[in-house]
Amino acid sequence: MNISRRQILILLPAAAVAWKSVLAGTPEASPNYRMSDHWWSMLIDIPKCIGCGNCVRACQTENDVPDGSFRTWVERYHVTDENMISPQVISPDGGKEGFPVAQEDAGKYFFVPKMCNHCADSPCTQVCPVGATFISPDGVVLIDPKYCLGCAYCVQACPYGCRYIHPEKKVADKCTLCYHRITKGLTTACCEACPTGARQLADLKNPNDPIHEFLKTHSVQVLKPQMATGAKVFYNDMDGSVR
Amino acid sequence: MVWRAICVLRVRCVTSACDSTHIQTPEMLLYGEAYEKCSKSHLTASRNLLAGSLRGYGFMSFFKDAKHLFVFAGLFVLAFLVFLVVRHYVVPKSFGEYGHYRGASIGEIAARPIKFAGHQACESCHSDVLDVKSKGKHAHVNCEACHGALEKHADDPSAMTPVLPDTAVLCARCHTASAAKPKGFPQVVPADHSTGLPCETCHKPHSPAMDAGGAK
Repeated sequence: MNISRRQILILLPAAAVAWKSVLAGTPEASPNYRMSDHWWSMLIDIPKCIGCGNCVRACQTENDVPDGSFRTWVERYHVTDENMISPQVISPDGGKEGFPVAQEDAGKYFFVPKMCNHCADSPCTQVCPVGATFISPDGVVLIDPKYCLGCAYCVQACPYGCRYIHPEKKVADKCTLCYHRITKGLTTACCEACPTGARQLADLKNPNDPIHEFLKTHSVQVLKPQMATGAKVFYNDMDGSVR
Repeated sequence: MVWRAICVLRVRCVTSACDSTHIQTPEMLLYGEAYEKCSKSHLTASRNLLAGSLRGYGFMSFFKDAKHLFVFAGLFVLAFLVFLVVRHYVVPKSFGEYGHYRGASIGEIAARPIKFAGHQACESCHSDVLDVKSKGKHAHVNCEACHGALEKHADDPSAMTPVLPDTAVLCARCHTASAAKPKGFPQVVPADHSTGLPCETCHKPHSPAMDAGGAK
């Protein structure tokens, strides 16, 4: 193989560029996405939820969530006048196929979609012994499945019960806030599938996001605020009996 | 000072020649034969020990037996070098890039394939449906809320043809009357409402109001 000096001079920079890309590893999935520009959260509007289970099914489809495990699920509360502090809560198969018809009787009913709260001070990431779970710079609590040992310490640490051990992969798994979607400019699968707009993805760092106006003008809570987890899933008009 | 006192303890207290019953440590037993300069006088009490070390008593012996310390120091340095080499190969390059985790895993998670195309993708082709839908009650129901995940179809329309959903299941899922649902949400008891007729006999899913006529 004869290569002239001219050819070598042309090839060398090309090889350098190629080698640099080899060193850089896998290219970023979304080249225009800057993590420092976002701080993701979710708004859940309880009065809008009809308990159809679309979000649960969409999540299972989008993320290949195995049957019996849930990254998001819907609970139905039934609070009666006699028992305000320990309401009856049901979530048949995570609410995936909807709920049994409730006959009109005493008390009130409402649906509460649950999911990872993507806490800013999350207890689950603090307990990981190997650095397999973490809060990304844009505020999403993620799991590195290649690093996770499956010790399930984080499953115990989550006060919201949002983690599970994947039955086949034997590693911890949870809601990623559809990180593979939101970094491409899409909304999450659950928000995409919600027919009533009860779930809305929100970016707290985006000054034009409607979340800011919503938080100002509505009665919004997070789950278990006493645990100081910095939960970022905001519930509008949530009853005090919700745990 | 305290450390020097400990040195004295280690170096001086260990001797087979010494018949006193003072402090014994594993090191003493180990090096028992090596040191024969023990005198009971400086070992009778820890107070005396400390005083001895302050006088430079242990300091001289430190140099005398320095060989052992150098061996240990060498071992430590060697072990540290081995640790550094192993660490270099075992710890991924991106670990610690953003925090105590593998930075590259963020990119890996972001690179997972999507299944739901998103309503923007649907609307870019099916603008006729969008026109109908945006005027009706279902304006804010996204396409894939009913039609299911269709990224494959959006990616290559010939690769996958979406199956029309069964309205008997689909409509009922949201609109079956239940006391648990919000009061303002339109709900019917399917058996009473339609007497078994399919929903689309009267309601067109994209614009369900009865007066919407023959809309799609």
